[in-house]
Amino acid sequence: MNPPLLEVAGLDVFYAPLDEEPRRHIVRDVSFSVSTGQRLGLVGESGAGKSTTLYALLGLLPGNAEISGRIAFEGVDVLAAGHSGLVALRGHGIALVTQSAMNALNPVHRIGRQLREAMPSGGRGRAARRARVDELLDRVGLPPSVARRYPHELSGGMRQRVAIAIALASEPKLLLADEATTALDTVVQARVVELLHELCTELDLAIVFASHHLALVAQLCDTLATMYAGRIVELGPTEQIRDEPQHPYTRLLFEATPDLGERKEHLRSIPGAPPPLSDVLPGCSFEPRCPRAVEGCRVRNPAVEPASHGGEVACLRPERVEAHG
Amino acid sequence: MSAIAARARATLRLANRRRATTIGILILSVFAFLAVFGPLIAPYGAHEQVGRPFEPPSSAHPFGLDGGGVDVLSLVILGARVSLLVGIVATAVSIVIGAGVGIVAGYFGGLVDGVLMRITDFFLVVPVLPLMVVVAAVWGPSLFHVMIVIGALLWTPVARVVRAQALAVRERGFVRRARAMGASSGRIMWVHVLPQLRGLILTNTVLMIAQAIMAEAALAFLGLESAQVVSWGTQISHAFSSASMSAGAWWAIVPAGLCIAIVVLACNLVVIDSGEARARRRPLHLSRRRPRVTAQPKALEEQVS
Amino acid sequence: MGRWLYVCRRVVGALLTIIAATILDFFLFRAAPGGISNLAFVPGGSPQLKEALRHEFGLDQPVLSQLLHYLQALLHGNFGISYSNRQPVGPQVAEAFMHTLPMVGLGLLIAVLLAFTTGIAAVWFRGGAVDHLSRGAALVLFGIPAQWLAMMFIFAFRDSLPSGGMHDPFLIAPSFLEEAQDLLRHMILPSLTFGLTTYATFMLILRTSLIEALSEDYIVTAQAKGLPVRTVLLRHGLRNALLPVATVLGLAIGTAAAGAIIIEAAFSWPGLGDAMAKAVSQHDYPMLSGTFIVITASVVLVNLAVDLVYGWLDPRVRL
Repeated sequence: MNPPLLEVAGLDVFYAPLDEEPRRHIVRDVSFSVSTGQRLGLVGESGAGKSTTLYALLGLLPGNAEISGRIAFEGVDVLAAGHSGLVALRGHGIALVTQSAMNALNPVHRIGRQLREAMPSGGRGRAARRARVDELLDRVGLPPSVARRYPHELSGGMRQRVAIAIALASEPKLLLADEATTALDTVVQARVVELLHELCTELDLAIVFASHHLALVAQLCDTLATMYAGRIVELGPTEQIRDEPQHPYTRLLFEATPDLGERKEHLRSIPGAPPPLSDVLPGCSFEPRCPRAVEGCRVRNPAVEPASHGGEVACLRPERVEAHG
Repeated sequence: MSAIAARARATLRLANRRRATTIGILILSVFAFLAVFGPLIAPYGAHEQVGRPFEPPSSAHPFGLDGGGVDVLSLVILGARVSLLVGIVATAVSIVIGAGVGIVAGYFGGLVDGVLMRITDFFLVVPVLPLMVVVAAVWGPSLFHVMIVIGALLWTPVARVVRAQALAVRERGFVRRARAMGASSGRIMWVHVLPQLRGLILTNTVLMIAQAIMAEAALAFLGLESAQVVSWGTQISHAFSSASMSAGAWWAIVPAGLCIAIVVLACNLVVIDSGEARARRRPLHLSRRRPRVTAQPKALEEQVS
Repeated sequence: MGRWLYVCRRVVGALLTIIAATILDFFLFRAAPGGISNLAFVPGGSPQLKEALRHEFGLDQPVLSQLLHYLQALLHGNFGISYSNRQPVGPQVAEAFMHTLPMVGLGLLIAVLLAFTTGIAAVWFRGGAVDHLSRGAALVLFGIPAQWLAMMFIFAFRDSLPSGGMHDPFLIAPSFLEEAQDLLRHMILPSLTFGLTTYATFMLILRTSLIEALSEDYIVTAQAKGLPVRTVLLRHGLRNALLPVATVLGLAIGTAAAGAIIIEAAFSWPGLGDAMAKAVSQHDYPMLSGTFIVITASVVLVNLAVDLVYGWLDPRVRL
């Protein structure tokens, strides 16, 4: 495989108290790596820490956050370079695609201007920049007339494509997509995911796609990581995990997801709710909701160990045998 | 016994959390006290000459004497009564007109709303002080006229705001049910809609008192109150016309203006708390504080064990 | 296409408001003691003289035609004759207007500078000493009566700066530079007073709306592009924060006009406000009427301009 483009080791993110709120441990000891052209999916419920992980990579967290760990992009330790290091990284190698909610794009600037703003500075004349704007719009499947429009004149799907175009404008090697399809209708969602797939293949782009929508993630990504309560509980090739999910949470997620091409006997939902992240649970965070939990699960947080599908899993009792109904 | 104590403690805790409001109320209470008991507290009369003009502050006269030899401290204390009275009366007139217009416009909608809003917009755009000046000049200088004129022209922001709320409240469940049961419009407005707007009207009332006091000072300065009136506004005006500035008699100028500024500040403090608490919740995406990059800290679990 | 409709509606609205104000003014002055309708009262005058005067002033016509005559006269710039100096009101008001402009202009500049610097500083150092100081200062200045501040300034600078007026009457054949300097020395205190008493509202609204703007998602997008902090703050945050400020600006202009009137009266600055104040004390109703109309019309037109600027600033409004 190619040398890793992005290496994350032992990432921890805390939110320090605002007013009287307790300190929260949002991202707990997260480690993963992404190689050129690899498509990694980050799946989990809301609040699992997916967005925070992505934002931590670019230093886009609010001022009351504390980060520790190692983040290396192309071999360079980003965190050690401090805030200026993080700023230098944005739009120069790593680009962010956010949710296309109403105000994700500046409402008072035209699309063309917002695209030009994202381009690497210097070197290009005005004509060349405008040509590049048209090229970017074309690449995401939008007509050049969009450049003259304002965000409120576009549909949700179009705005999402613009967000992707903005990310591409800086010629990144890695895309971070944070719930990039969540605000869209189902049909549009599928199209956007298709677009992302195309772009990654065409441009040899790596992508980390965070979403709670497992089906879409599975469609786009070759590698899958499930997150629960701030930890990565399973990581591995999508195909293999789909066939034999080892962590109970991953398995439940798949069983709760319709239309993966297989016929389901029934959809299971996962009872209970994720724990508040200020709690200090000594054992596995998933234990209260886990159908395979035993006494030992409450004692110690399971370490990350190699899994039979070639990836890793953090569970005391991973399901090694394929179990069907 | 303990129930009362518990109640008192709860109130104190609320007061502490809404510190600005508490300070504001305290300040206003002091001035209200002065307004009510002024004549009993003031050492001298408002028209009583007790010394030479522009005598500087001394132990006998902590605020000195003004251009007519009158004790400034007494003037300030006595002036509180009139200034606050103007504030309250004008505001009462304003609130009645403004809330009335707002509720009727919001509740009835349609043509009534259209006409009332055109009128309201007119008074919102047209500068208020020049109009007050013209009306007061035409009507004749008097304190009473001033109170009514201020009240009659300050109601517009209230009407706007109340109307918006009335529109919202009108569609709520209990109002519709009342209508369905055949309650008259008047009754619905009075019994159902009005209580919902209480907080809003209260906030506006406090702010308007401040505005009215300022307006009184302005109209007094322009000579639209009779000379007999003793208010903070006329004191400032009198200090001006007796050339206190060139006489170097700052003590004739400072106290009255300071009182107005403090009362206005107090009114603003009372209402400021609600807005700020809400604003603080949302995190800024851009601020001077940057995320801290720390060396590997112990995870929460390890810290505990 | 929608944009022109927006503009036309606003312009027509403004004109209607001005006309309404004029009509209001007309009816107010008919009610004035010593005003127009009583003008014909000449002590000891015969009934025929009274009738003749009434006829000459058109007071025997029906009210509506009097109103129309009045409006027509106004359109021709005829504001009547001043009671105090028997000169036409129109040119005097025009001259006063030209005097008010530079003073208020400089004052507005000061207010804008103060509002922006303290407002942005308050947001950047949010929750800190700078924030509390800025807001505290604004709140305090909010409640200070303009005439009081004017008097304090006059007192403080009574030995170094002129206490009133616009020119030094004793300057003999001054050069352009000397004249400019003299003007500035007279103008600095009134403008400073104006700036200090009007900036508070702007600053507080700006601060709140900037905080709102900086909590929006597009700030994250902008940062993710790798833009420097200053660009994000100004080009994205501030630009959007201007919208609520512009909305409030309209309401604040009336208050600013009030302040200008008081300040001119306090400094005897020969502008519109001073003319109005003098007209009040001299019971000069035509002059009072004239200044009222011009001040009101000015405020309405500035409001219109702000409205149009808002339409330009916010593309969401135009459609």
